[in-house]
Amino acid sequence: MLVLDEVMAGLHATEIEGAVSLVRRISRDGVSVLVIEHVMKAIMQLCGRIIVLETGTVIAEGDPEQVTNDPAVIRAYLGERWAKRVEDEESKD
Amino acid sequence: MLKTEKLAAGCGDVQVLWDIDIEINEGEMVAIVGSNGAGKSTLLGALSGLVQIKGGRFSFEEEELTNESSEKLADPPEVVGFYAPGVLAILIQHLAVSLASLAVIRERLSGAYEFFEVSPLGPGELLAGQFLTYLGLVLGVNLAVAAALAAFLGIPVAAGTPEELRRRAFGGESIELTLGGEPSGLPGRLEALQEIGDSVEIRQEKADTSRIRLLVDDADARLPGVLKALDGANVRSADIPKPSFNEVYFRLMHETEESTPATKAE
Repeated sequence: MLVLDEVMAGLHATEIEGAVSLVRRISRDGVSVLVIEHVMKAIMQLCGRIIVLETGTVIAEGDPEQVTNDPAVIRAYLGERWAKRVEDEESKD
Repeated sequence: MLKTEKLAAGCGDVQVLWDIDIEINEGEMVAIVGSNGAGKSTLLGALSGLVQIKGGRFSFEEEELTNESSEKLADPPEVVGFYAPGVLAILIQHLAVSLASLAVIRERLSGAYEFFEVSPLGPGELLAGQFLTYLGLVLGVNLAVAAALAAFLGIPVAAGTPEELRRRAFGGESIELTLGGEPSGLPGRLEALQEIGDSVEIRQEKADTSRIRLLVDDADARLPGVLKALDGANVRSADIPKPSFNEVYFRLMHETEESTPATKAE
């Protein structure tokens, strides 16, 4: 298992692309990869499953689409105002 | 493959993680995200035996590892050098991040918002953030390469104020003066000194004492002008770089002693 803790911090876009490509290549060889990362673009390209932590507990888990639509995640990341806005938009739909 | 059950961990009396249940399957790529302080790195630390486990358990390939030491968990010992070919790359990263820290934070923020498909930052702000980030990276790379090259060639790297660095680079000289008397009399003299020197720094040491550092290209050539600017001032000390100036220094002090009563009378 390869564990990566914010290895893409401070890299520019081209380097991130290189890093993503390398991690993908390693994964193709059957290695499990656990990534902690703030570079969301890389996470979305790499990971089929995302676990969201907030104040020491897991608040959400799922594929990128499930996680980004999770009200608890939206509240934790963007605050109450955005969470309410998303909820309002969803209720209109 | 990797499984945690009700895992709790922390440092000393501080508990950071509560009831963490996660499972990573073979060949799977999983991300852990969360804001700063959410416990992401603590979780990895706990799984590596580096952070104290306070409750629950975890296993890897069905083997219970909760109470194993970090040495056992890293058996065989292996350090993966990932995308950081040596100290230079780390230096580049740190310099770039510190130089463009604000821009990086902003870009990360915009990344988080893109993650959720909303963007409270305008296109101009995003562009400015990206520009600053790249500028910081370019500067960071250049500085890191210069620093590494200087270290490799054994060139001492200078530190100091811009004026000091300029003086070292171009061979200028500094004249340091301690003046007594009311600070109110200084502006006119400073103006005259500024015309003579490359830069003038002034520091008020006490209510009636000021220290002046004047940087000049050639102290010999500029001294007459300095003496004129200080005419009638209460000069308590003067540090002039060349021995030949000792004579001038004593003359300066002598003239000052004579002029002091007149200065006070002003």
